[in-house]
Amino acid sequence: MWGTFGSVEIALRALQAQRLALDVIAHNIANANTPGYSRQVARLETTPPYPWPGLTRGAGAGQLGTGVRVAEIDRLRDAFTDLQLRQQLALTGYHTVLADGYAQVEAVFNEPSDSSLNQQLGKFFNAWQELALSPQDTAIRVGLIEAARNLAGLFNRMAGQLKQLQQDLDFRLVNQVAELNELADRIARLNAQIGQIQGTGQRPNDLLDQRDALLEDLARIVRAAYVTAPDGQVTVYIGGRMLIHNDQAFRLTTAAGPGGFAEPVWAGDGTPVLLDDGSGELAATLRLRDTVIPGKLADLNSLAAALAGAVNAAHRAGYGLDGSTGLDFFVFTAGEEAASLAVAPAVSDPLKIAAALSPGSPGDGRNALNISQIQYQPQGGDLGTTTLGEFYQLLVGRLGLEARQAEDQKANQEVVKGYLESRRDSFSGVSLDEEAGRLVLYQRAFEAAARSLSVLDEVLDHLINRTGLVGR
Amino acid sequence: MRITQRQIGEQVLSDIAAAFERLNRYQRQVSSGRRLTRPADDPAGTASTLGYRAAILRLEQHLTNIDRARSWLSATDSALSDLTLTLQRARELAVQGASDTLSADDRQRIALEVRQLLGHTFQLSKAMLGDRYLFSGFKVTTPPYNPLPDEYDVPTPPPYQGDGGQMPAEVEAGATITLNLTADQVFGPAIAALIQLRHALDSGSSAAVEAALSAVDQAVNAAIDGRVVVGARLNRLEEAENRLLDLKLSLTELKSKTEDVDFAEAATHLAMAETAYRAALMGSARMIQPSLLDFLR
Repeated sequence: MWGTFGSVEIALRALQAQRLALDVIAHNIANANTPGYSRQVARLETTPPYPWPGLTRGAGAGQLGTGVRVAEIDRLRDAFTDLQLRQQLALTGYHTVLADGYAQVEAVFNEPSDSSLNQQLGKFFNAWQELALSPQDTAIRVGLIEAARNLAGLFNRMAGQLKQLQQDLDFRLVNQVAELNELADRIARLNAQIGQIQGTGQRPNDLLDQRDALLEDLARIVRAAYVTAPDGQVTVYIGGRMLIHNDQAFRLTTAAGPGGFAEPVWAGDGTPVLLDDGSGELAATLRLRDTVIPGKLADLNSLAAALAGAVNAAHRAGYGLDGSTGLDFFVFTAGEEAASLAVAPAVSDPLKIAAALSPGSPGDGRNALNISQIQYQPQGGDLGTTTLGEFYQLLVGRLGLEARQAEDQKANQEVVKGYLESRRDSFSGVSLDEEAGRLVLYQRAFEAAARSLSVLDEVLDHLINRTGLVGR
Repeated sequence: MRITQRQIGEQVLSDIAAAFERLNRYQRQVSSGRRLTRPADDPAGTASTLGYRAAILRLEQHLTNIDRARSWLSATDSALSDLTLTLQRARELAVQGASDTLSADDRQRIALEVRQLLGHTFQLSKAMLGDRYLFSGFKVTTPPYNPLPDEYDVPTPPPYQGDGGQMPAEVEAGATITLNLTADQVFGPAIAALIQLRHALDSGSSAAVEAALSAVDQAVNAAIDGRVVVGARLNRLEEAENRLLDLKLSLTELKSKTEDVDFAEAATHLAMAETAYRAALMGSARMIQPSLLDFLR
């Protein structure tokens, strides 16, 4: 094909290739702010030269080029950074959910403030001290019942709020599983399209971007392993089991577990999902719901049980103004101490509060004084060597420490995640300066190719229309 | 490293957000005056400040207890002081009555005054604080004596109707003082002595009056002993109160140090955070603006 029109073909190919390169740049610029977009580059290469070397070819000027073509539109993406980023996103998701959860638990405890349990506990024992000094005074007895009801009510409210928080987390878990299923479905669909397109030898760049964005959303929820097949389809494993394989998504669901809460299980056979503790929002939700909040509830229960036990034992030993004795001051349900703590109905009659150690002694406040001494005494049992107040103060201090650690780890994760995102953007992000520079480059090449076409046009015009007219 | 617009954009936004968050934190500290808003702000500090708060709450109750105890003891003291004066007058009368030169009329006149003093003593024994008898032990609603037929002419010392109850009052953590004195300790001897003196004067026997005089002396001693005890207790209250007030001052200071903002420090932080925020805004504005596109024709 070493003919007259060969040069036209070269110019034409140049025009097409430069224009395609300009299209790719326009696509890059258009998507400069699209989340998850990876910049693309038109890889230009020379078309095969002419003629091919052969035995029959004589020695002449060497091979002649035949122009340019776009070999491939490359997507610039670093798979290793993606993998790292996904692992870090799982950790970030975990610590973010955990830190938010701790902040909510802290809000339940509402410390330090003037209306917290710490204060109510102190006011309760102060009321007994008041009574010890004026045991015959009905108004002070009524005041004591009021203080006791405030304290018990606060225990009830705090336990109730913690349980409500647990319910909310349970609800969130169900939502997260639904979100995970939705993501798995979409990724599986994209997998199928990517497989088909790769099969035809083309690069499904934008579909790959979409899938990578979805994989990042998935990574936040759960820690997973990712294997990409040569045909571009990704297989995702959770706890060693396939969540996504080619165009199939193996869905999760929730089943009622112990305690009536939802547990994530595989929809296929109902076996529990093995989650990596410490990674992924799902694991954090489970940790808050099943470990953190039950731990705080148990502490509150221990405190309420120790308080009620000690006050009741002392109260039974005393006598009311009407001679009643052997009465409990608090009532509660075992195992639900904080939620159920209440002033015993019998002692809602102020005369029955056993302030005295001897019957028929209206001025005897010794038992009230004894009860007020409980605040100084180590309680043993769950409370060990601490007093009621100390146990609570340590409990709040520990909560603060755990919350602080969660906040710190969240902050650290944000930094690592930010670094990896920045590295990804550094490699895959669109630089407008760069695109503008290339834009000019390809524009000039396009203009020059057009010029060479018009030169050829003139040459042919000369040859066809003006050559061979000698003597006419 | 290759830098892209998106990278800069993200970085600028997160830097500005971080600077603004710091600014907001110090601004809140300055406007609320509080350094500690949740346990995570300072876990160890929270545990300590809860301890300080509990201690302050207890301490305020002890101060209240001290006030209550002081009114009780002051009322007791004033009754005992009155009793002492009454007995001293009785002693003067006894000394007069012991004289052999007295006429029967004079003795009757003295006996009449002793009768008045006895009635007054019964009144004193019924001293109350609010609705409580001071000297009946735990039986605060029962008067200590119920003299028959009446307070002036009761023939023999009437039985004590209260009990021996000792009322404790906690004035410091775990430390109590006893509030009350019982009438059988302080009024019993006085009433017996006055009745004996009245009978002696009625009988006209100087020897009997002499014997009654020594009983009156003993009663005076008992009353004075009572006042000494009450005075010592009031002193203890005073000392405890001073200690508690000192402790309250230092606890309040500790609590404030843990919970409250040091304004000089917070204001400095605020100013620094504001500068950093402005710098971040200014730097970002410069960084985002230029582009190669500005210079291509």
